[in-house]
Amino acid sequence: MYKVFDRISAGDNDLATIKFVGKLPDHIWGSNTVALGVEWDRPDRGKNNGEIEGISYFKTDVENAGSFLKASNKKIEKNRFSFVEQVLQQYSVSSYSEQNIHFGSKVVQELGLDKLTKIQANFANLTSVTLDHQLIDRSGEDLENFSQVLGSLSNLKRLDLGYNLVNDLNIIWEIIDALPQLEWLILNGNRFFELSSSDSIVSHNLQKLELSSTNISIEQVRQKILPKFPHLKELYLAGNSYKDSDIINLDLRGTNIELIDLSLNELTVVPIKIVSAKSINLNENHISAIPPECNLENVNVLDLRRNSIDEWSFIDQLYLLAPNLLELRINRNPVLDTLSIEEMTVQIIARFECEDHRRNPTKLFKLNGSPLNDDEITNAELYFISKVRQKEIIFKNEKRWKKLLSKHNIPDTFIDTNIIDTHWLAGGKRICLSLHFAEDNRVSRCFLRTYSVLRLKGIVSRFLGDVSILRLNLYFYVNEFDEDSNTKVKQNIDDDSSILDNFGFQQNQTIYVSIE
Amino acid sequence: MSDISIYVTSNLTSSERRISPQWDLHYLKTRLELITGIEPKYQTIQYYPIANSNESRKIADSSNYNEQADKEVTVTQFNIVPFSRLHVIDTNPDSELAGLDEDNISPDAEFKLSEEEYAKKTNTVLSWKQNNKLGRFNPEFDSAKVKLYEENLAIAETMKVGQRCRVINIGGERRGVVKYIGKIEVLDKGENIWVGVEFDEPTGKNNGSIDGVKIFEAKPGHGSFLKPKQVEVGDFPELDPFMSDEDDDEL
Amino acid sequence: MREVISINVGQAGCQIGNACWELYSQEHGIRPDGYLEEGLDRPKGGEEGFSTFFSETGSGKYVPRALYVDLEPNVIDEVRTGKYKDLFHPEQLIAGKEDAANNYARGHYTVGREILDDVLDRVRKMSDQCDGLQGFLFTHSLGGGTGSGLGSLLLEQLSIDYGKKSKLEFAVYPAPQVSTSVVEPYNTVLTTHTTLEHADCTFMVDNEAIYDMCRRNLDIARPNFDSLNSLIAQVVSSVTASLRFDGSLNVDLNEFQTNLVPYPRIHFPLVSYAPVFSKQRANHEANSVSEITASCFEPGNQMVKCDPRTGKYMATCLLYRGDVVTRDVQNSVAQVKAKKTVQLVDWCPTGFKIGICYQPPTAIAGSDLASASRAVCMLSNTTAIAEAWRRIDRKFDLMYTKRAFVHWYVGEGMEEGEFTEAREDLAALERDYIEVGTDSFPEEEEEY
Repeated sequence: MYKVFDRISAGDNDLATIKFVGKLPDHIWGSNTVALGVEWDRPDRGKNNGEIEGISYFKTDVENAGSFLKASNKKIEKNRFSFVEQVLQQYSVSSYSEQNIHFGSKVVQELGLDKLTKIQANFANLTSVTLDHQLIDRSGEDLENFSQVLGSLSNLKRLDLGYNLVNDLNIIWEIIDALPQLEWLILNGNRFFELSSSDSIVSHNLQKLELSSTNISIEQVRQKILPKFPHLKELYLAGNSYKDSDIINLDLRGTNIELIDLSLNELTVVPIKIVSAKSINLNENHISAIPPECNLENVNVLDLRRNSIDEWSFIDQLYLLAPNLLELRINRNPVLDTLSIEEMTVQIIARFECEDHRRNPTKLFKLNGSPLNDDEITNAELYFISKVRQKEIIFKNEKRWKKLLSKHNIPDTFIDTNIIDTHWLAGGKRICLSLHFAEDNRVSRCFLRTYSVLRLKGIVSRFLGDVSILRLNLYFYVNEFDEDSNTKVKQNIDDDSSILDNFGFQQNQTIYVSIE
Repeated sequence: MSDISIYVTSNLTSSERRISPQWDLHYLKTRLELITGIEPKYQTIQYYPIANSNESRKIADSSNYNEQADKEVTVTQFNIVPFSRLHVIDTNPDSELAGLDEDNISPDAEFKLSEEEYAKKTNTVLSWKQNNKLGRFNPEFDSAKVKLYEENLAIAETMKVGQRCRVINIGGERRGVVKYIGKIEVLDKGENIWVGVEFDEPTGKNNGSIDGVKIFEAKPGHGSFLKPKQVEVGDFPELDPFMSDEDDDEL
Repeated sequence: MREVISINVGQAGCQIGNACWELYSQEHGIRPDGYLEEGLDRPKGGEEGFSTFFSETGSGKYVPRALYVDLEPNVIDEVRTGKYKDLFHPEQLIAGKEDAANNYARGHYTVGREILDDVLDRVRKMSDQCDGLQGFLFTHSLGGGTGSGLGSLLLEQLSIDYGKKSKLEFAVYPAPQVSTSVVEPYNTVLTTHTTLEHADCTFMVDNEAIYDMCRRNLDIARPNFDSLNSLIAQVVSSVTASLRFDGSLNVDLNEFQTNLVPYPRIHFPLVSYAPVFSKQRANHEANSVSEITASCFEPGNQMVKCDPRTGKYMATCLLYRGDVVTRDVQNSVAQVKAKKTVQLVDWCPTGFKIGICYQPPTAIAGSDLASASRAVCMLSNTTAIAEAWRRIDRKFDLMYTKRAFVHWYVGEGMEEGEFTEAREDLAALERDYIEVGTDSFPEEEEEY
C-alpha cells in the first residue's frame, strides 16, 4: 500500500506526494477508511495545509497545497510501471497494427507507421526515448530482462522521464548508469527525496540535465548532481521555488556548466556564484538588484524578463558588469512598463554597446528576441543623445556617455548631474496623476512627461472600456493644491498634440474625466 | 549616401520601405503615392524620428504644395534617420481612398456571380461534381439520404427526454441523459433529427447551446448533439459515482 | 533522383528563401560556405533525400538547387554579401535595376518581361543538371509587385516549358488588418487568377498570424522580418522534410497534390505547426504527441487567420517529425476525433492521412524557437480558408467600384478587362468552396 513520500497521479495527470497515511476521526469517513494526506504539485489543486478540524496531520511546503483523499479514491491512478516495462510497451511494438479510425465515411490512412514501428523495435536505432507522464516509479532493476533491455539501448542520447512518479534519484541512477552514451536527460516534474543511499558511477557523457519543477534541494544538486556529471554543460532548475538563500550555496565556478536555467524561482538579486555560465536564464523571478561584486564577464546570454527591476540604474550597472553580453531579454520589468516597446528598445540599445547581428558580433546584438542592425543602433543612439541633452532622459553613466559622443563625433559636453533642472528632479521624467472618473472612482497612474494628450486619452479610454477618445473631456484645476484660494481655476486639456509637461502639472494632480 | 530603411504609413497602409537621401521631395512623393495611393499634391507628410512614438514634425504640407519647389528640395535636408516613420495624410476632399477602410461594402459595389453564371462555367467544382456524379449528383445520394433519415427518425421515436443513455465510439463509452430530441435549425437548417445528451462527465462538446442558441441546459463541456443512431437508451447508470462526486472522497 | 528546384521571387520570397536555406543547410550539416561541417563525411539525411535540394560540385562543395529573382537589387545584394554568400553561385542570384513599384502589371508585363528570358535560361541550366526533376517550389508574396506579377509570369512560363512537373508555392498572403500598399488587393486577385490553373498546391502564410505567434508564443517584444521568416522557415522545412530525408516514409511532391487537392482549383491547404514556444520556456511546456496534435487544430497555430471549426475538411495530412511512437500517434488522432469537430467531406476523393519523418526538427542557431524533439505540421484543405479569399475580394470590390488606381495598371499596358476576368474567377473560386461544403452525405458519427 501507500507510504509517505510515494508519488501519485490523480485525475488529469495531477501529481502529488503522499505526506500522511492513516486514519481520520471516525465521524469523517467511518472507521475502516484509510486516508492519504497529500501535497499537490500544482498548489491550486490543494484544499488545506494538512489540517482537519484544527488537528494537523502533516505540513505542506506550499500554503494550501494539501488535501486528504480516501485511499480508495477512484481518481488515484492504480497502475504504476517500471522504466523497463514502459520502454517495451511504447517502443517495442512487435508488429504494427493499423487502427481503423473513422471520420465520417473516411478511414484514417497511416503512412510510414509500419516502417517506424519496425525501426523502433530494434532498440539500437533509438537515439531519443520519450516516456513522460507514464506513471513510472521504479527502474525495473529486479526484472529478468533489465540488463538486456538497457543494453540494447546502446545509442540512446536523449531520455525524457518527465512527470513520472519517481521519488528518489537512486532510481534514476539505476537506469542511466546502464546508459553510458546518454547526453541529455529530462527529469522535470518528478520529486527527489533522500530516501536511500547508494554508490553511483560518474557519468562522463551527460551534457544536458533538466530538473525543472522538481523542487530538488540545492544540497542534492551540489552533493549528488554536480560530482556525478563532471562534463555537464546545461543545467535546468526552473520552477523549483528557490530563494536567494538557496542559490547562494550553488557555486558553478570550476564546473563546465555553460547554461543555467533558474527561471520561475523566487530570487530577488542576481546570484553571484553562478556567473561562470555563459547563458543564464532568470526569467520570472523577483529580481530588482544586482550586486556590484557580481562579475558577469563570462555571460553572453541573459534573460531577465518578468522581474521586478524598477530603476534604470540596474540596467546601467548591468552594462558595466556584463561587458560581453550578446543577447539580452529584459522586457516586462516595472522600469520599462511605462514605455512603448519602441521607446524601451531605443533606450536599452543606447545604454548598451550594440552591434549589427550580421557581423559576428562581440557586443550585444539581440535584444528582447529581435536581432539588431546598424541602422537601428545608430538611430537609437542619436535619438538618445538628443533626449539626454534636452534633459528629457537622465543618464549618469559617464563612461558610456563619452563613448556615445565620441562614436558620433559630438563634442564632449557631459551634463553635470548636479545642475539638473529641479523641475525634473521632482519625480524625474515621470508625472503621477490621479484620474478622477467619479467621486468613488479614482485611479492613480504615472506617465512620461513627454506623453501627448492624445496618448493620455488613449489610456483613459482603455480604463473606461474603450470609450471613443472623441467623447472624452479632460480638465484639471490649476490651483488644486493652493489651499488659500476659494475659486477653482479650471483648465481643459484639449490640445491633443500637446505634451503633458506643457500643462505644468504637479505630482498627484487630479485629472477629471467626463464623457460627452 | 546609401539607401535607408524607413516605415511608411497612411490611413490604409503600413510597410517597411527603402528611400534614397538623394531623391528630391517631389520624387519621394511620387514613390509614396504608389504605396499609399495619395496624390503628391494632397500629401501632408509627418515625420516620426522614432517609429512608434508621438514625437513628430511636418515635412510637407499640402496647403502650400508647389511641385517646382519640391523638386528643389532633397530628402537629405530632412535628416531622415533609419527606421523612422513617414506618415502620409490625404487632404483630398474627393479622395478615391475615402471609404476604402470600411468593413461593410454596399451591395452595389460587390461583385456578383449569379447561380446561373456559375453553373454555366465549365471549370468549376460544380461541373466536376456533375461530371463525376459526386455528392448530390450521385444517383444514390437522395435515396440513401432519405433512408438514413428514416432510420434515425424511427430510433428517435423510441426515445424520451430524461432517459438514461450511452454513446460508444472510438473514444470509449460515455453515459448521460437524453435532454433533447428533434430538429435544430441553427445546426443544419433543420435537416436532421438530433439527440441532445448531457453526459455525466465533461466529455461533451458544449453546454447544450450551439452557435449561441440554447437548445437544452447542460453543464459546460457536458453537452453534445448526436444522431439518434449513435445513442443507445436504457438502464445505464453513471459508470462511477465517485468520479463525478469528488468532495465525498477528498477533503 | 527526384530533384526539386526552389525559386524565390521578390523581396518577401527572397527573404523567406534565405531563412529556409539557412535552416536546410543546418539540418543537413552544410556550413555557410557550402562544405560539410567538421566530422561529417557526407551530408545528414541520406544521399537520396539530400540531393533533391542540393547538388554536389566536384570539389566536395554543395550548392542549393535554388534561384533568387528580384526586380530591384537591394535584397539580392544582401544575399551576395551576407553570411551565406559562398553557398550560392553568382548565376543563381538574378536582380534587375528597376522595381515593380507595387504594381502587378509592372512585374508581369513591362519590367518583369525584361528579365524573363534570363531567368528561364538559368532554370534550364539547373534543370539540365537534374536526373529526374520532380518539380518546382516557389516562394513569393501575393501582394507585392514583383512577387505577384513576376511570380505568376514565371509560373505560367514554367507551366508551358515543364508541363508535367509539379509546381508548389509558399505564398505570403496579405495581412487581414494592414495592407503594405493600397493596391495589394488588386495584386493578390490578379496573381491568384493567373496562377490558379498553373500551381498544383499553394501553401499560404499570413504575416499577421506569424507575427502574433512570435509575440504570443515566442515572447519576442518586437518581431521583425527575421523573426517572422525564421518561423516560416521552420514550417516550410517541416513540409519539405519528407522530400529531403531518406527513410522519409511518405511523400513526394506529387503526393502532396494527390493527398490534398481533390480538384485542381481547390489547392490552398491551411498549414498549422506545433510546438511553437521559445527556448526559454521549452522545458516547462507540454510537448506530448497528443498535445502537439491537438494544438494543430487550434487557430493560434495556423499560418492563416481563419476558423476551421466553421468549415469542412476535404483533406488533412498530419506530418510528424522526430521522436514519436505509433501508439501515441494513433491515440492522438483518436482523441482529436473524440474532442474536436472535424467534419470531412465524404464524397471527396481525398481524406485523412498521417505520415512520419523520423528526422527531428532543428532550430536555427540563434533562433528563438526552441528545438523540440518532435513536431507536427498539419496540412489541411478546409473550406474555411475561403474566408481569406472573401476578405481580399471585398477589398478589391471597394476599390474597383470606383476604378481607383486602375490607370496605374492600364498605364503599363494591361487591359482593364483583366480586372473583371480575374475578379470573376475569384468569385467562382468562392462559389467552388461553397459547393465543396454542400451536400455532404450525412455522416454517421457526427457530434456537435
